[in-house]
Amino acid sequence: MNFESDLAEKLKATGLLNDEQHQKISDYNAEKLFSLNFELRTLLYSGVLLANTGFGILIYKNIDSIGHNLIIGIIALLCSGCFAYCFYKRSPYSNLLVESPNAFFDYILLSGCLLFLTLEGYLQFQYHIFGERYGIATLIPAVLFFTLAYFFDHKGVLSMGITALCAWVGITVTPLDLLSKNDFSGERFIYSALGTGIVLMAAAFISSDRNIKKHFSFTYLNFAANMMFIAALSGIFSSAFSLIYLLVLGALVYFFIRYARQEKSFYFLLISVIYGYIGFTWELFHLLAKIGLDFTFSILGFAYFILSCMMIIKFLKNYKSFFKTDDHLQ
Amino acid sequence: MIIYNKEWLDNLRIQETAEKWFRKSFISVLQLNTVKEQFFCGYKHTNLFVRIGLFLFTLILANSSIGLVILFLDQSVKSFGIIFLVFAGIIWFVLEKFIKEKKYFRNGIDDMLLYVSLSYFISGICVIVFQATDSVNLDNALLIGIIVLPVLIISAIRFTDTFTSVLAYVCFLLIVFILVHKSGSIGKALMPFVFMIVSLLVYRIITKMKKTGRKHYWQNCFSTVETASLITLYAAGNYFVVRESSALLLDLALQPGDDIPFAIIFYILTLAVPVAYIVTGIRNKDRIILRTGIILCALAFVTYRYYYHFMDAEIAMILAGTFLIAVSWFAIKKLKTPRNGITFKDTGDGPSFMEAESLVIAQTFGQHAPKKNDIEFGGGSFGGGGAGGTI
Repeated sequence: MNFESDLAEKLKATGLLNDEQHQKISDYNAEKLFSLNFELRTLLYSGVLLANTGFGILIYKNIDSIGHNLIIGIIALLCSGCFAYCFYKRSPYSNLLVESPNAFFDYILLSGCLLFLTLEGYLQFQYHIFGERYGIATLIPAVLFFTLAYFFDHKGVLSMGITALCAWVGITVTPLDLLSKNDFSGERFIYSALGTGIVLMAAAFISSDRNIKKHFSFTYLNFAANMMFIAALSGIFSSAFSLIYLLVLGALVYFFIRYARQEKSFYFLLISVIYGYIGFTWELFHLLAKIGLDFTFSILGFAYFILSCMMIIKFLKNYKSFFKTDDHLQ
Repeated sequence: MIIYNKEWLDNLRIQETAEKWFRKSFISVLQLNTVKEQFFCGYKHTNLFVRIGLFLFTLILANSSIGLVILFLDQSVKSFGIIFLVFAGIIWFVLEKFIKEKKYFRNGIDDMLLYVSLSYFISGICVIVFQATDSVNLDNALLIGIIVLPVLIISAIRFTDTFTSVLAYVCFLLIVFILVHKSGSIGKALMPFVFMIVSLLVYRIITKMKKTGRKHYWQNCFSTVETASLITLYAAGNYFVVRESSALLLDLALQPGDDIPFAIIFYILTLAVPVAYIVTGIRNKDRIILRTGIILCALAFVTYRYYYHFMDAEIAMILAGTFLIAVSWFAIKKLKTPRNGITFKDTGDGPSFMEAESLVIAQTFGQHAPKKNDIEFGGGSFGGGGAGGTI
C-alpha cells in the first residue's frame, strides 16, 4: 500500500493536496485498520441459519419421542425471547431508514422469525391447529412478518413476509381438487402471480411516493417484477393463448424498461431485456416450427439470433445515453 | 505485451485512489475532478448489470455467427479442428480491434469474446490431436496441455483477465499431474506431496510478484491465482481428496476399515491447513488467505463427517451454528475497539457486508465520472457502437 502514500506525496508536490489533507491521508495509511466486518457478519449469519435449520430438522425428526409440551415450550420461549430482545433494544419507529441498534439485532430478529415458522409448523403437524385451512396457516406468518419488517426495519424479514404472502395466495387460489386434477391450475397460478405482482408493485410505488420506508420499494418491486415476468413466460410456454401472454410480456417489458430509465436502475433494465428476449424468441420459434424444420429454417434461426443480439448489444452499449435523456427533464 | 494503454491503467488506479479519498472525505469534489482531469483515462466503467447483459448476448451472437458459417460449409468437411482454430483466430482479431480502436475495457463484450476465442482454440486443438492420433489417452492430454498453456498465459497477461489466469493455473497443474502420473508408482504415491509443493511454490511466487509495484495491472489475476493455489494446496492434503484419488490412481480397492498409506498425516492436514490459513490471515492481515481458510475449515468438518458419523446432521448443524454464533459474537464484542490493528468497524476498504447485499440492489450509477468528462475526446477514433462507451 505504498502506492497510496506515494501518490499523496506526489500530489502534494504538485500542489493538489494541501498539507493538512496530506497529513490526514498519511495518518490514515499509517494506522490502517484491518476490518473483519464482512467476515464476522457472514459467520454470524451462517451460524444463525445453520443453528435454526438444525433445530427445525431435530424437532421434525424427533417429533414423536420428545415431550411435545416441552418442545413447544422451548421453541416458544426462544422465539419470544428473540422478539422481546428486539422489542426492548429497538430504535424508535420512523418512516425513514432506521439504523440497527447493534450488530446482533438483525440476526436475533431473523432467528425469532425462523423459530416462529418452526413453532407454527410443529403445532400444525402435531395438533392440526389449523386443520385443513392452510390459508390461515400461511396468512399468519405473512401478517406477522410484514408487521415486524416495518416495525423493526428489516429487509430480510420483509422478503420472508412477501414469500409467505405468495404462498398464501397460491394456496387460496387453488381448490384442493383442482390441484390433483391439474385442470386450469396452470392458468390460475399465472393469474394469481400476475395479481400478486400488481399488488406488490403498488406497495413499491406507495412506499416510494409516500416516503414510507422508501428503501423497501426495491424489495417489493424485485419480487413483483420476477413473479410477473415468470408468470408471463410460463403463459407463453404452456398456454393455448400464448400470443396474449406475449402481449402481457411486452407490456411488462415496456413498463419496467421505462421504470429502469426513470430510476436509472440497471438491474431492471437487464432483467426486462432478458425475460423479454426469452419470451419473444420462444414464441417466434414456436411459430416458425409450425412452418416446418428445414435448411431455410436453420438459416433464418441463426440470422435471427445474430440480428437480435446485435440490436440488443447496441441498445445496452448505449445505456448511458438512454438513461441520460431524462436528466434535462428533471 | 499488455494490450491496454498502460498510462491509462496507471491513471485509472490513481483515479480510484482519489475516489476512495473522496469517499473518506479527505479531499473535495473539486480536487477529485482535478485528479480525473490531470490523470486522464479513456477507459470507461461499465455497470455490472449492463456488463452481464452484454456478456450473455455476445455469447449468443458469437456462437450463432459461427453456427451460420458452419451451416454453409461443405457437409463433407472432416477437419473441424482447423475450422475451430480459424474461428478462434478471427474472434481474437476482432477482440484486439475492439480494444485498440474502440477502447473497450471490461464491458462484457471483450470478456466474452476472449472466452469464446479461447474455447474454440482449445476445442480445435483437442479435435486435431485426437483425430491425428485416433485415440484419447494421457499422452494426448499432455500434448494438448503443453500447446494450450502458453496461449492461456499469453491471454491472461495480454488482457489481464482473472478467469484465464485461473485456467492457466489449472492447465499447468494438469501437466504436472500427467507427468507425475507417468513417472510410475512412486510418483503416484507421492502425488499429494508433489501437488502441495507445487501449489506452495506458485503461491510464494505469486505473492512475491504481487508486491512489486510495476505489476499492478495484474493485481486481480495474482489474487485469483493466489486463492486457487491456496485451494489446491489444501486439496492436495485433504483426506477425502487423497483417499478417493489414490483409490483411482493406485487401483487400491479400499475396503471399509482399510486406510490409505500415511492416513494420519492427511487427517491432520485436513484441519491443520485451514487453521493455519486463518491464523496466517489474521497475523499478516491478509484477507485472501483468511477467507480461503474460513471456507476450507467448513470443508474440513464436512470431510470428517463423511467418514465418521459421530453425530446426526442436525445436531452437527446446531453445534456448528452455535459455535459460529459464539465465535463471531465474541470476536465482534472484542473488536469493537481495534486490537493490534484489527477491528470490527466497517472501514469501507474491503467489500462490506452491505455491499454484497446491495450487489443486487445496486441501483445507482455508482462511481461516475463527473459530467465534465462528457466531452468527446480524441477526435474521430470512436466509430459506431463504440460511441456508447463514452459517457
